[in-house]
Amino acid sequence: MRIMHLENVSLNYREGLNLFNRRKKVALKNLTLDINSGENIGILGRNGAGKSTLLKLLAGIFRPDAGQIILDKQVRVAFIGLQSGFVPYMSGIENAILTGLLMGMAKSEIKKKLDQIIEYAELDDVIDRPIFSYSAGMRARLAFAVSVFSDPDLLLIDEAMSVGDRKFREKSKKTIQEMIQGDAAVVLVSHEPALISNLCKKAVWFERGEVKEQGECSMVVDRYNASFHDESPSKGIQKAVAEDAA
Amino acid sequence: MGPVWWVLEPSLYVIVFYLAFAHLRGGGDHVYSLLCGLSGWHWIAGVINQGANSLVRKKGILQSFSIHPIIFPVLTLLLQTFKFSVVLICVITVLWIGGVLKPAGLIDIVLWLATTMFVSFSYAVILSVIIPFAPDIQLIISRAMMLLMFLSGVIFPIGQMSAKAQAYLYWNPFAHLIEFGRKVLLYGESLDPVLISTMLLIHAPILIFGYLILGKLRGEIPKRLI
Repeated sequence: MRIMHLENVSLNYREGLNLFNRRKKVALKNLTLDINSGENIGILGRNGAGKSTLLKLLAGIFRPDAGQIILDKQVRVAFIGLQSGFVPYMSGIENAILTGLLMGMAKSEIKKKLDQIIEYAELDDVIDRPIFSYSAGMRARLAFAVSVFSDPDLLLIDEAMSVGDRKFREKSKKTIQEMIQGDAAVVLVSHEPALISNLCKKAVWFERGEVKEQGECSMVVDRYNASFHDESPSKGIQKAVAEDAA
Repeated sequence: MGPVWWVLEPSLYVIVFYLAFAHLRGGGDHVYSLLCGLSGWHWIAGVINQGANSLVRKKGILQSFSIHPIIFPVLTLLLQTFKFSVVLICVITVLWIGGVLKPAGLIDIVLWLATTMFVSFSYAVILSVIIPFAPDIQLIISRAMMLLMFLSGVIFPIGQMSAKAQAYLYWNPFAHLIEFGRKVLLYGESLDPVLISTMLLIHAPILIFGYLILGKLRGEIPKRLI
């Protein structure tokens, strides 16, 4: 069942901070995409391709400058980014409660699930310590645990799995599979094509804010990987010089 | 330092300004007037400065969750008001020990506190909308607040100035708020309901406009925060 539809969506960032500078950088251009329940979509692309912007758009954090996003039902969205939105001086447990509230959970719901969240994140020993003392992997584990226990209809993961250790990856993979079987949708952004092929059935490859390829995961991943081999170093330099000149 | 700093900071302010100004004017009861003015100003400036910058300071949350940005100026208002309540207890204690405490009725004290919160918050909200689009305004606000402190009768009560100076300076809403504080704590005077209603009527559209714009730009502001 379709839960979200993006129709010719475009999004721009303003270039620079000068109030009178009206120049804009196109982050997403004419994007059309369906997200269905029980679907796991992998997003591929190089730095600055628009992957993280897409996730923030799906999470409702950013608003599109053109096009429309159609929600077919009331959707609870959980977004996990590398920054994770934690407050550094607050403890892990306080951040877990705050994150749960911001994801739309009721306080009673969070309290009921708090022990499970801590156990899942394997942070029992450090949960009362301030979050700034956590490693990136520990923060990702906590963010993932809260997101999963918020029972989202749509889980958006921006590179967060890349910072986790092998054990966390295996655990999160298993959880994602369970969520998909339970009718949730997952959109995963990663620089690692192997991770995408391992987890997703559908993939979208972005290049400079535009969809270069979308469809069956292995086909898109193969073409994405091939794009690196097609471009020899000397060709790449020539292309960059030509672009600069233009 | 935590809560100790909340009391220590305005106290240090008062000591420095007392040494700099009150003694030059021959001391006396002026220090109590200064104490009321500075503590009130510290609260107002905290709500406006911190509230105006609250979206920028909490950009990590705004860029991770889909939430209404008004939550940050509201939290700033509550936090600064809580801090002020600690300071107010200290100020009342000092005035009582000095034998100059002459409180007005409870209604007047509540009106003073509510009006100050409302007026300061309205500026915090409208400025919080502007700052993500023009971050340089942050610098201007902090300098402007310093200038406003001198134009709000914080150090020398405006009521003691010339009629011409009063006519100009009372256009500044903060001058009234500072004066309200002195009236309800030092002089036991009631507040003018017409003046309070006027201030609320003037600032209500600013607050409503700020709130609506924040809601409208909800998906735009996180893009602008760097």
